[in-house]
Amino acid sequence: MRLTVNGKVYSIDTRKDKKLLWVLRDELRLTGTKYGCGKALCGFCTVLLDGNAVRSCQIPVYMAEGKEITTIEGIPEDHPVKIAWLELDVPQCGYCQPGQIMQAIDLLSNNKNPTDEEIISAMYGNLCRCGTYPRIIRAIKLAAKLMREKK
Amino acid sequence: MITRREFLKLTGLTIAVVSTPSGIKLLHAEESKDYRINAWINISRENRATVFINKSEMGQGVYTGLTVLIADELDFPLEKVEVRFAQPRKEYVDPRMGVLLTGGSTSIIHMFTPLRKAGAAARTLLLKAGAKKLGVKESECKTENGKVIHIKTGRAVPYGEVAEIASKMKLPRRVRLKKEKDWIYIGKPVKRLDSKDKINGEAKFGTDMYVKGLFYATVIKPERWGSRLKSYKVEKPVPEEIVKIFPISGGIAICGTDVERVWETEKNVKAVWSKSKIKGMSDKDFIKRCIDELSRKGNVAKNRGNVAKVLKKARKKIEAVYTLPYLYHATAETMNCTVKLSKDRCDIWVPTQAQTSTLRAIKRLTGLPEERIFVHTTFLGGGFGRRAAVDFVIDAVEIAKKVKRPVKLFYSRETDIKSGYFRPVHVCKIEGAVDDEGNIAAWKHKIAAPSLLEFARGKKYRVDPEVVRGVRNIPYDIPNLYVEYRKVNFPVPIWYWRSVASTHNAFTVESFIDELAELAGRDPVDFRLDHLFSNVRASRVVEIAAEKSEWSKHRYGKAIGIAFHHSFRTYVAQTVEISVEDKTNEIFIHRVVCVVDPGPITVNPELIRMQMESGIIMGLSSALYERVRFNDGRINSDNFDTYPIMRIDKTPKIDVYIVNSKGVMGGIGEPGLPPVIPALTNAIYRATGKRIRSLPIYS
Repeated sequence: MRLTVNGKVYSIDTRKDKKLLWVLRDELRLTGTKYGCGKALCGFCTVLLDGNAVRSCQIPVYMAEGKEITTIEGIPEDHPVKIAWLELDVPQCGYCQPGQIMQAIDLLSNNKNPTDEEIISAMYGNLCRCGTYPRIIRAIKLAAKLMREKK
Repeated sequence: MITRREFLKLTGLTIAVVSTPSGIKLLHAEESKDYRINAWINISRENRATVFINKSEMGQGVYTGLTVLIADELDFPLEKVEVRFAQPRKEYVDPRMGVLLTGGSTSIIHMFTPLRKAGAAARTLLLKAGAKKLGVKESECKTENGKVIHIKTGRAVPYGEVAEIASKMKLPRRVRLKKEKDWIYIGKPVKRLDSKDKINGEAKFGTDMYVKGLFYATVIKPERWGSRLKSYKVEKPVPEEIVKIFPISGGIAICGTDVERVWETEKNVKAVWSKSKIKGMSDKDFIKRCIDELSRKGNVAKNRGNVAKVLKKARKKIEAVYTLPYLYHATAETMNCTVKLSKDRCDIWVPTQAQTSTLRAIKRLTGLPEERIFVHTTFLGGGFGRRAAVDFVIDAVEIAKKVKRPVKLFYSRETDIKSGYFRPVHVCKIEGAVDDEGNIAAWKHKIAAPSLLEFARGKKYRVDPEVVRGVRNIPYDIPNLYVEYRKVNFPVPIWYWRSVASTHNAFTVESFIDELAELAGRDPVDFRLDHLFSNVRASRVVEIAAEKSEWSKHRYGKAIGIAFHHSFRTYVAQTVEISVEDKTNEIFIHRVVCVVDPGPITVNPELIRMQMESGIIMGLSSALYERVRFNDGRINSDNFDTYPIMRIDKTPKIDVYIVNSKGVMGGIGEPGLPPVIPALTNAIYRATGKRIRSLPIYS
């Protein structure tokens, strides 16, 4: 099976129905994507599939074949979302943050200037036990501003 | 303090561990160009420092906070510091605890002086070595930004060039610490040193550790706590990835080469457990049992004045029963660890708050001497107390012993909840009276709850201090106070949950204060201040919280509640402003004002703000939603659908104000949580007239 992750093509030998999350982590050792619930309830395992945020714990790996998979490791450090996250020191324990960042990137790719309500609705599926929510909201607004200024 | 030579004798070799995706590579310190200046600090020839910290980073910020303490005294640039987690060896113990353990909001308090001394001691040696290299007197030199500088000529030598010489010098017996005005990092909002790795997905948590040839493992926990495994059988077909299924002390272990398959196979195992005392009980039954026990005699925790007499005579009196459920920590990262065990050595990679307990458990299970056991602490995906337990370490080591292969024990979310170690259930009845002047005349407080310390320490307690804390030492001026504790133990494992007894007692005490204020016809803020007359720090945070939240202003369609709590040596007052939608009863939390007095020193104001925000949100989450469900004695919460925690939609605006005062240094990780719960329920009462006496609100 061939998988395209962060622009790199990997040839892997795995069972077809293994969830993408575990292929990324246990086989490709891209461990930035985290397990949290296995039921699409927490968002820790969020990655982009052809640019759209998905829960990798729900996707059998064969369904990701032939698609562009992007994980947290594939987002450049100078991406406005990463810059904003760093600027506001969003992470505490940090475990949910890769998923939060991937979800935020999905939001900002469709909405250049989201309101609070739009941010909350887009981020509703991503849990954070440390309570970094206030900073996530601020960071998304900052990232949106950085992205608009870039243009 | 232990000497460098003793350290080397203890450990045999200085070993640094580097994790790589393909496995674990061990590097001998001699191979890298690191020079050990003392136990806490290595400096390389290239002038990079490695700092060893003895506390776990679970989000609370010690990775930054402790490093800053060392770097400040060392006069070293933070961007050239690498932080590592120390092994549980003698020279790294928390001097006030005697072990390596992160808990009780004590890391900065306990390590504030020792780590600055370690930095200063290293700086003293480097200064001496630098002066020698420059061929000048020590007294003519200063240190700055990782360099020794000859003041007159400006000639400088980086620490790295003299680190080898310094590493061979005798550690000074005494060191002089900087004056507060000379601090370069302490007191400043230094950015978190772990942010970048966490944002890039490069920070290594326990689940990110791999050892070549490992088996994944999980453990089926007892169907009901308080029962033992009688027998089990495995239904076929079992996936080919499963290697072994066998009983261990903690349940039934399943081992295999594919974690998903390991978890799925739980359903193939049909186990028979012995009868448990809690069979038939729902979560409401645990509460009911505690309520029933209120009428039985307990042990006196506090008896001041004559409560019985005053209550009997009082004209204005009320009573209330409050109930709180079991809570699950719900750490983002479920319990896990990776163990590599051989005949003469054990390595464990573990997100733990308790390195010494981990070491001792492994020693007991393997018979290996302590110096052959290596506890590699990873980043922790949340802790909140849960990771101070070593139940999952014991699981992993027992499994590794049996399968003779490296084992990565990894609980699914479902197993993580079933593993217990909950914040205990708690019930109390409070009776109170106010006198004709509107002051509290008497307060009678009876608690019926499990004893946390009896479970945690395996000893008997007449009155468990971790149950009555915050009530026995109630901060208000109350002439007649009686506190009684009725122990009600259940076989459900209970444990420290962020803020411990304060999560119960701030809620009950601060709710009842509002109930008494109403009985007295007084304003909740004035009423508190009058009863905090002799407590300057307490009244100050209450006053400022009232002022910053514009307590007295008219709020159309909104209401505000206040609470104050003193815990972990820190004083916190919070107000919560809410509105409640009439038709749906939905609660909107608009703003939380938090005033925190952590004592004389703020090591990092931004980290304090983060911890207050974190405590507030976890507190609101517990108040609104959290309750471990039981059905027929079985834990009936499985995942975030049946144990909901707060999502981003309820996030209020949070304003944190830090006020410093003389006195002892306070903790930060926990004290921000307790007061927000009663501040919220007090606000709900003022908005709707409905008094919340049972949590969670949405149950």
